Amino acid sequence: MLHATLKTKELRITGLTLWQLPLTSHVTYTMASGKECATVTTTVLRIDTDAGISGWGEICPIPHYLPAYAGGVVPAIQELAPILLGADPVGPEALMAKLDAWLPDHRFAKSAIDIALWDITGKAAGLPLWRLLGGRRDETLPLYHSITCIAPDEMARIAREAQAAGMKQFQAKLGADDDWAADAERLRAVREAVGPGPIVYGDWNCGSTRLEATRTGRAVADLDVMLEQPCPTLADCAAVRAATGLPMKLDELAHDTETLLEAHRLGCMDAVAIKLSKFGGLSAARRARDLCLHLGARMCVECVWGSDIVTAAGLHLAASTPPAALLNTCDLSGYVAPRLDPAAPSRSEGRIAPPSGPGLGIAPDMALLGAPVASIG
Amino acid sequence: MRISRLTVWHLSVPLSVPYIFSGGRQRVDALDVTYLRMETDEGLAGWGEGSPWGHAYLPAHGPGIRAGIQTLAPAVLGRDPRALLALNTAMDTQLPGHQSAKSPIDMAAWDILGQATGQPLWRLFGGEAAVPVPLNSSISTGTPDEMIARIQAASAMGYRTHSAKLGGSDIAGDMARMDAISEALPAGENITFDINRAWTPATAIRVLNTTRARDWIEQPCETLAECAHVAARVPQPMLLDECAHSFGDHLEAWKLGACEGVKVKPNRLGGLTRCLQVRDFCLSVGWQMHIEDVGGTALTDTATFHLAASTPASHRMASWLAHAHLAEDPIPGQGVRNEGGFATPPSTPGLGAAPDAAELGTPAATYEA
Repeated sequence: MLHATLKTKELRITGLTLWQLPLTSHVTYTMASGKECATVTTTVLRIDTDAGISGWGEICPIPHYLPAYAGGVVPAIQELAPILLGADPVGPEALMAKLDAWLPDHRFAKSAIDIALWDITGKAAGLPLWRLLGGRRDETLPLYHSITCIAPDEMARIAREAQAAGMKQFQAKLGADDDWAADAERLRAVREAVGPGPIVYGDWNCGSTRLEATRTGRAVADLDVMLEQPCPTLADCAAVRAATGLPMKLDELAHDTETLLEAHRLGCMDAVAIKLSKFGGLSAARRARDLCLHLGARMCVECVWGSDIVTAAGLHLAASTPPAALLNTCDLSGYVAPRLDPAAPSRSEGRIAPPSGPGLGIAPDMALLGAPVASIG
Repeated sequence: MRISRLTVWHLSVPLSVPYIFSGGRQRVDALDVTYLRMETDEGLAGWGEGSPWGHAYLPAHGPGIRAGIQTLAPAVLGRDPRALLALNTAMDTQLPGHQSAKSPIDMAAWDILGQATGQPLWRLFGGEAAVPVPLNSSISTGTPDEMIARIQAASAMGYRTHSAKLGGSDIAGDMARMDAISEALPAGENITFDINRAWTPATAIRVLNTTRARDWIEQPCETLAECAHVAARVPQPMLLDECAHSFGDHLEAWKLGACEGVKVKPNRLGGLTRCLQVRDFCLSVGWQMHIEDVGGTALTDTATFHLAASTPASHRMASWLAHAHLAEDPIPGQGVRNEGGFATPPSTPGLGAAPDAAELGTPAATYEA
């Protein structure tokens, strides 16, 4: 009967509450250019409404990785609060357009808001988000396992262990020691460790150059491997793609319609990471997903980092993406502690399913969140 | 020499006349001003400022600038402030993007470099003399007659270059404004029609191919690709502003043939160091520039006029004095001022302007090595 009432009544946002807590990686991630992901701050947002429905959002930037940082989340959401309070949260894109006019960009902070608005929208409709984002295209979704940049044989060992647990896609981080030949060894070691079949790709996180990435790529050009985001510009990445003949996945440089179109035009986007907070939330990531269906890029649908809220949001979008276009997704909450909702989905045999409850289907453990850092409204 | 302390102040400085964004997105009554003092272990101190033009103009807002400084501080403290490129690289590694938070830090480091070398910034930027820089007015939108009256009032204050804001949903109204203003412009004066990205490409092409005006057009549409599409199909020279944030954006604009000039603004590009790189690129490809900032007090204006004065007059157009719009003056009498339509940067070492810390109240934050 709640739903019958909601159909005749507009919801209004009555309050915003923000928490911040540290997430610690089970394995510290080392990437190119000295970037590291050990313990980072996640920000959790709850948006309350006058109908008793609340929505959850989360944003967890990795330091030094994208134009996003934990310290900027709360100020940006506070700046946006006058537009949010009193607004109708159902059908997030109308409200997100108002936020974009009020404060341009700041898509990382807006991602948490947009996810929470979708959670409310799903709960108001009584439907899990995958139903609202295009319907369930597969029961379970393929995962990849990300391997920190260390010695080649150690990376091969991690790959074998993950493969034994059912994983079939492996991302090897490259470039931490600025040694193109070591990167070639890493790709060869992981490729050989998992045998023919599984997908293997090497990720520089923008930390290489045309010259060095081309040297690495040509040294492994006989292997079935993909290169990911070698250089800091699309032109550089396209040059590496052309010189090595190896397929390429993009991440950091693909973050809106313009960059997706440009990467496609340059022919260097065989695959692309559709990370929610890189685009500005589920609304913007869904638009990117739909564009990539036309562009023919295989998609990794996920977020940057975080616990169960962002993981669930990514899983809902991934579950509604055609399997032929979905490269993989990521169980981010499986890489870190604590889990905000211990009942949320976990990986099994290299695959994972989205939650089935209304909205995100996530109920964070309030004891873990502690005292809010800000309450507005 | 090492950076030993950063002190941050937050000021709210009222505008003389409230500013309304196109479409009513935001009404700006006061500027959110961040002042930053950078101290060193050798006793020299430099000043920087970060003042976004409200929160709806660019991806920048006052609380975000101060939050950005907090995140940048650990990468800045302990560094030699005179090593500007190394400082900027460290800031870009610490926090990608968020250029508006880097600009006050970069400005303060330039102030120290100038003091340490005993040189005014205009000389360090390549200038021959502290030449007077012509001023650019800012004419808010209205009826054609109202806008012409505002231009005449600015002319009476010495302004010979004007920036008129257009871009309503009323296409015929914009055409009428452009025709009337262009024809009424006194001989020897220049005008730029600033659309502030309000038009779609089709609207821009319709208006610009219909109006008789052949003056500069600034930032007609939202994105660089849209502006480039328009530039190839209209007869007026094109200026870009809001869509260029990095050196790479300028390179891309040049490849696309998207413009004949740009606005060079420290708070958008990430400081004077980044502006200097863009300024030199503009010179090499024949673009003309308005060198100014997105908003601010006379401290910000002083920094941008050092860069403007050091730029060859052939490629430098007029510069906007942001502080002329403010009702209060946190550095009374200091720095660049309107002198008959021109402003001249100081020739004392560094910026040549420094707030009195005792007058600024309690700092918002202090970061120490």
